[in-house]
Amino acid sequence: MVDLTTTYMGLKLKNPLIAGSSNLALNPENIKAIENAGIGAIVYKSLFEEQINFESANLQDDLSFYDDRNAEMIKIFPHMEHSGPKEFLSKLKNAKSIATVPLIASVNAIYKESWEEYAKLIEETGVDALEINLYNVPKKMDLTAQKYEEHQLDVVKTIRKTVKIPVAIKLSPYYSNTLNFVSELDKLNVNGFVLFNRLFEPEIDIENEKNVFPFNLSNKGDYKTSLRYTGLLYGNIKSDISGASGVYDGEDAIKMILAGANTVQIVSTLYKNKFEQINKILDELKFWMDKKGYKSLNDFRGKLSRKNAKDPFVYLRAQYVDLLLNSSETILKKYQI
Amino acid sequence: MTGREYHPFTYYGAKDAENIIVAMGSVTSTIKEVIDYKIAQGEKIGLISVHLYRPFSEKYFMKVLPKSVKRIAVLDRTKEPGANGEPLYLDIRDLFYGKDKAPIIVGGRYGLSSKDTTPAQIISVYNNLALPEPKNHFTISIVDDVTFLSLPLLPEISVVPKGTFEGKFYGLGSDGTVGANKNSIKIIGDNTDKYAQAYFAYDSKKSGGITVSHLRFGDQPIRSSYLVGTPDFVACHVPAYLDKYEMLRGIKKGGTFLLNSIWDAEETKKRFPDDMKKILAEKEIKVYIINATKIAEEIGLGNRTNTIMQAAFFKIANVIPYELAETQMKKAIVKSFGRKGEEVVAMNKAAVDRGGELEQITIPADWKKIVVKPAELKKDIPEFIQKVVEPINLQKGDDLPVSAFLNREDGTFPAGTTAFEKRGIAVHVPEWISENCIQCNQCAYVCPHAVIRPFLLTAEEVKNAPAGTVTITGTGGTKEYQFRMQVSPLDCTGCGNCVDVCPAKTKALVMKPLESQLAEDARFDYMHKKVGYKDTVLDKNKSVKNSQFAQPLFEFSGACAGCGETPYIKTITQLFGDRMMVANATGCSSIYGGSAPSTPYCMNKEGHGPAWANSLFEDNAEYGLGMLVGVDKMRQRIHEKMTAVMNDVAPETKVVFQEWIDNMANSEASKVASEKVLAALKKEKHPVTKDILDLKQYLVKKSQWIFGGDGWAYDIGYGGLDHVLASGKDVNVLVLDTEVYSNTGGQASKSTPVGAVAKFAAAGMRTRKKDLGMMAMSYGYVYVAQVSMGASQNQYFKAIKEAEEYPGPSLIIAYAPCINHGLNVGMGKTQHEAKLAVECGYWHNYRFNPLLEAQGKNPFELDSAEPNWNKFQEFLMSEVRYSSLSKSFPQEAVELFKRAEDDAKWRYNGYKRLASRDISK
Repeated sequence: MVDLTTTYMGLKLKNPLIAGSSNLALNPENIKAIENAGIGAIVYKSLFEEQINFESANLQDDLSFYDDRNAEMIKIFPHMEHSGPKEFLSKLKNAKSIATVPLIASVNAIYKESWEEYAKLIEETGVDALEINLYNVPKKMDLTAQKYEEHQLDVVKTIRKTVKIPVAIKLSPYYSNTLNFVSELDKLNVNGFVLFNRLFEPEIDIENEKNVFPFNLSNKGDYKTSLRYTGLLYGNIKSDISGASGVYDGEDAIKMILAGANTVQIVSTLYKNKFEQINKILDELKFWMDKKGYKSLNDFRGKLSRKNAKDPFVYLRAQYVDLLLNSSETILKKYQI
Repeated sequence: MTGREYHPFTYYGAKDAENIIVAMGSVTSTIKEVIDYKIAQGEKIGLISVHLYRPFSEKYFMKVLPKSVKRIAVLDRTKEPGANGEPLYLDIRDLFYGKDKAPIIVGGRYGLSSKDTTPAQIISVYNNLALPEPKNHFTISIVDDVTFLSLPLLPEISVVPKGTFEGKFYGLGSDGTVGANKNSIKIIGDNTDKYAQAYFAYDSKKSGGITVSHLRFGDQPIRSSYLVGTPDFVACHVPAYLDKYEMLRGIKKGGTFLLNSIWDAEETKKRFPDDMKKILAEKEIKVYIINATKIAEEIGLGNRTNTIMQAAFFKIANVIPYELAETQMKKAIVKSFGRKGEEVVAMNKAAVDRGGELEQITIPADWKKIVVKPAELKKDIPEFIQKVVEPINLQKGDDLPVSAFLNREDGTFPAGTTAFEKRGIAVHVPEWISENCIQCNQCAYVCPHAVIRPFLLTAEEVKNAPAGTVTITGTGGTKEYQFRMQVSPLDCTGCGNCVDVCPAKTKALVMKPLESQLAEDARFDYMHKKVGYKDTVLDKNKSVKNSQFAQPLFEFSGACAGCGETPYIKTITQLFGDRMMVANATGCSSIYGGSAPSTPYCMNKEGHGPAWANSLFEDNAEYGLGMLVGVDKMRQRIHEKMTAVMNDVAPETKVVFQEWIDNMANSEASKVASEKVLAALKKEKHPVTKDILDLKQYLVKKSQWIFGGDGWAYDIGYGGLDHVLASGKDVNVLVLDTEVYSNTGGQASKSTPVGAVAKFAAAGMRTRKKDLGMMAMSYGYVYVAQVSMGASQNQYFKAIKEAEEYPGPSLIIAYAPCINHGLNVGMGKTQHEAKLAVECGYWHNYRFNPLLEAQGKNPFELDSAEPNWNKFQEFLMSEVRYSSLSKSFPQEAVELFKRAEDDAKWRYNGYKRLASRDISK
């Protein structure tokens, strides 16, 4: 019998599989279903300040839509204010009371003050850990990378001071030197890194010549950027690593752990293959470990990280390996061109 | 501290005034304005303002009364029928009773019927005092050409302090004009030392009505407690108003007119009506146009022209420096839309910037010479419409003299005046696609404004129809005829419920721009007047489909687009309208049911239609019962008269008299018998003929209805309603249940369910909705039905027929989606929403018919199927009245919504038990 238990940010998990932050684990029924499928932990959907602001503006629009049309009906609803994050927090609290596996919250704010306030409020709900979702798509041409990173470091520093629960950072791979930025964050005593965030990608509809906003799921094979950075970071930072983005099956999960991940996060595969995929991934993992004779995850975690790799250059030339080691003819032949 | 003086009476005016007014309330500030204006011209006048009316102190009055006073005019804003005079007038006279050198004291009434009291009217009061024999018991604010007690109506003059700006802005109920003006006064009030005043006037229409914003700004306090009558600035935000309203009335010389024009300068000039052209030239008005409609579309604001027009106002009115206004307008935009993102902010800021795209029009000086022809009476429109209804609709109602209402002293108004309004407020109206139509008539059944109607045409009628009229062969019992679904585009509000309910495979109705459908107007006229309503080809009492060939005797009301209430009323008038009487409680149904001059209840070609009257919340049920009892008495008298002369009249008359007596309690049979009676009386020589003919309107058995909303039935009128139901009398009550006081802006009633947000329940209603139906059922002899037309058109149809036929009291409680619910799907899907309400278990349809019990059957029938409770919470979240609670009080919302669901289940289970009980035990 293989042992799938793992530790992530000091939390003891029965296995390394985490349901990543999404709309899937919002209602109590789904939380139960995900747990029943055997998940190790759940990340609750992010609290987005932008969403609260948008909702708040929409609430005022909704309440005032029929105003000023008739002398006796100048207003048809009483004055009401959006409760801010209260609705989210109450649902989060409810989710925490239901969940039997560790429940990790997630947050994304605009202002430093909000980051701090929300982190504190989230901690008060009793969740087991907090994921700081640094999701931000740079929009300004004149904002330097340094300023951008300084702001994010400042936010993380503030939150770290504010909350006592373990804190993970979920970030995008698009920094000038992601390794350096992660290591700077690592110095702030955070507990984990989630590699990586998927960025919002608007599409273009060529038929109607307009921008469209499709629901953006990852595809099988998308895990490779995460795999690479997991391998590069493992053993070089104090924090734990959770591999995310494009992990679809047992094979992908095994790869992530071989590169050094403590846990892996799955979302898109749950949308596409439903919750039974959790069980399937765990079975595949167990089967593989059994076959390989591994008793626990620690037996092979990070085995193929940069630190442990026999060829220390493998990660450094990763993108060129095919081109350098094979002749162009071989490649053309491979793709039957 | 505040500069306000606290004396029982204060005096204002010349120390040596001879003629003064005594008045109280806001009119005194208008009087003070006039006094300042007149004193500057050397007149010696004054005012005593009454601050403490009871106890009324002679001592303090005499203390402020200048010794020089010789004449006093006392103004009362009340009418005391039968008294020697109005209260304040009598008090003042009493002060001088038996005293030497008492001044001449006259009394007058002002501001009745909410009429505005203007400086010109006050000047008229002072002029009256200056006459050798001042008129006593006078009135102002109206031309009374019947009793001649009114004082002359002088032309309006401006008495505001120099430098005070007066502006009027004409807008449409939903276009944001009022909101923009509220923002403008805030900008000026908050950022300058100026005083600001604003008043917003609305008409009684719930949708597509006119709004006029009256704004004043000035360096001195504003005391003008009346509407702007002499504007410096007039803005028209709606191009269609140009030839409709007299917008430039009273405009000051050299004033400014700003028009949102969809035409270029030359075309605009052509479109000015003659009377407007003359004023523009004579008063040397500066005219600016801006195509705000086009700009709004270009920058993505749809039809929201308000910000563009607001910026244009600041640009040309020079009330404050434009740069300051611009900064503040943009600040307000960031505050309102900042949270919605940069694009929305940019869009609105662009609206401010483009408000500067104004063009000044040069007005030809020779327009002064234009001779404006007085409007001639049109032949095809009743005189009352032209002389009374149209002026009121054109905002000139206050000009009507008392004589316009001669012979209407009892308040009766002709029926069917809304048919002449042709408001054209819809942006899109339905177009009938004949080849897709399955002739089910559901569109007509649900139309809240009766603007879509099926017609059956003979070959001859098809031949004579306007060119291009498409018809299809009727189906089933109507196959001898050609069928056409006809829309009246100018009466449509564009809600789209007809399209939504159309069950055809490919929709037989498509919403099209109003402009593309104007030819349908003449076609509707032809169908309505020439083709008529062939409601006997199929029995209208048989089915929903058949009922729609009958003429709706409730049409084109001012209810909101998509109103959930009006389709219920309309169907009742199609079945019973020619013999029905309605007592209507105050509420939305009384506002759209009859706000002068609009009367949507109308008559058929025989001149029969509902008789309708509005009463108060607290006594409407009794009012309806009174109507019934009154009619019963008159019919009893007919019965007695017939019985008394049975052996003295002609044998043929005797037969029909007997037939009438035998069937007097049966509505349809009494209709047939009544016609026979009238035919027989034409030949009958007996003097009883005259007596019966005097009572002929009572021959047919009336269908007595009592209408009202939940505010009336569940709350304020409940005591009376209960009393009337208990009486066992044959009245039919329709409760239009929106679960709030809709008409007054959404206050909670006892019909408001747990968790709903309403005024007085901002944190969600905490108590369970009252089960009015159950309470009524407890009598055992009251017919009760709970209906939701959107869920089952047929169940409602059955309910009204059974209720009307039931020989005792009937109560129908109808679920009515409303703007107060804030439907996510919009008011174009109110029928759909009513369907969802039943599907998810929020509302339950049932009928309780005591007649069934007499037949040994269970009187209670649960008509709704087992709800899908999984959809209950989803339904709540689809309406702002619930979803807003989740956003404001999320924790409480979860708990309250659960309770709401539990309550709904509790009710449903109760109904289920009733439906399954064994009646034999």
